[in-house]
Amino acid sequence: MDINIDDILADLDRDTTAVGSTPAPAGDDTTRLDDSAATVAADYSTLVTHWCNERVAPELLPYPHTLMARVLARLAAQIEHLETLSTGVLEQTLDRSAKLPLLCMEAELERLKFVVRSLLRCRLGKIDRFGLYLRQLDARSPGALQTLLSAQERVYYERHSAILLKLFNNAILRHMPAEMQAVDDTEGSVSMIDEPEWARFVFLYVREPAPDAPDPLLAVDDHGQPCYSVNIPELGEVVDLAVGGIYIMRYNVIKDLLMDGKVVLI
Amino acid sequence: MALPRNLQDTFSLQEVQFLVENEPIKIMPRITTKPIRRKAASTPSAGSSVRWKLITTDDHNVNNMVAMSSTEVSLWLALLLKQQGKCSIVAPAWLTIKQLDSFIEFELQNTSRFANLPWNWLIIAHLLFQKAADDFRDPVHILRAKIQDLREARLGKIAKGLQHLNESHLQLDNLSLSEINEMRPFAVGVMDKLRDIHAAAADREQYANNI
Repeated sequence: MDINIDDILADLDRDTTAVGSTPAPAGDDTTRLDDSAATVAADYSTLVTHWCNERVAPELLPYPHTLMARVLARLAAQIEHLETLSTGVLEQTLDRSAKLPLLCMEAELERLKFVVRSLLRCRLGKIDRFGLYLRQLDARSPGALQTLLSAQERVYYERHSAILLKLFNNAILRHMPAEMQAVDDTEGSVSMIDEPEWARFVFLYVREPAPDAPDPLLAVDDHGQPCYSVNIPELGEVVDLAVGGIYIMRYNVIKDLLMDGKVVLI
Repeated sequence: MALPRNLQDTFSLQEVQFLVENEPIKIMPRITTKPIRRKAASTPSAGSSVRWKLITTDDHNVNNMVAMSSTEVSLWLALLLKQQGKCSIVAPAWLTIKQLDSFIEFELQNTSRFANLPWNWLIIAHLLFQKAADDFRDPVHILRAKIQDLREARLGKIAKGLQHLNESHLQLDNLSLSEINEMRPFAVGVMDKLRDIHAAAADREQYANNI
């Protein structure tokens, strides 16, 4: 019972603050905090989604340049903020209540660091695995790597493949006949370049489109549910992916939907 | 390898828990962080306390906590505050004996569908039982038993559903993240194999037709 009353009170509280802040920025810093906080939360959830997609997708996904720049800047600012705060706390030996926000902010920092670290490690793993494929991609369409990799990743990729190639050359390849020295021969029956497993099965969740932007791709299935129709060319099958549903599908079938953010991998 | 082999293409249980901990949950704070403007001059100690500045979620709620009036924060923050004795967690509406009973009934009556539980029910239940057991109104050991019943009913159905694995696709609505993560290696492995067999059979057919 008491919870209900509190809820109502909280609602009232929220309403009044909302009303107070919209026409004129009454509170000195509350509106500013609100404004940046909204994008902060959105950025974080986009980052987490990106992390999940990257972990499950068989190929290397494009690097989220602007998002990562924002997140990393915030990370650095927060580390600095915490450092000044903690030195202040130590000097003044404030009451214990001041330590609680500090504790939570540190915990949060570690959580964000973990996501960033795990995402980058996953990407580095894929860069290692698909080094030759990335080289082929670069040769075929110059500039493709600029969007696919970050500047640091590109440096890593170039040096890693140079070192690997040198090792191969020194250890084995120079002892072989000249016509067998290639590492990226695609002429024979089996291509030497490892491509991502395009038809791998992945679990995916179909997102709801934003209410203000109806999606032209959305169709209606037999049960009257909104859905995306995808075609499996190998089987000549058309499958309806209902919004809000969970499916196991081939990656290549849903790749375009994934790039548009209409489905997420789980 | 930059990422350990066992983490490629799947998530560890800890990572699933991490994802779940980003979800919002209702709490009853035992502290007040909302700045009190008119008294600020008379009580300098309250005014000098550290402001919360969060970089992954909206920090409006944590900066405006009022003792004993409910608010919503991320689960990880709620668990941390709970650990420090600064709040009690309001159990989600579905985590009551009555609700769980109706879910179990649904699971037993429908052999081909799953009840519409939250996508993170199993992890939430385990986390709350472990860290906030004193905040439940219903006895925790009964809730725990109900969750176990629910899990077993669903596990049985998942195992039975594996016979429907095919080379095209499969729809698995209302399956939770931890359940998906459990069946992922097996399901993906089998479906990849079926796809290869299907492709090989199609090739052979074409070859036979050409001759």
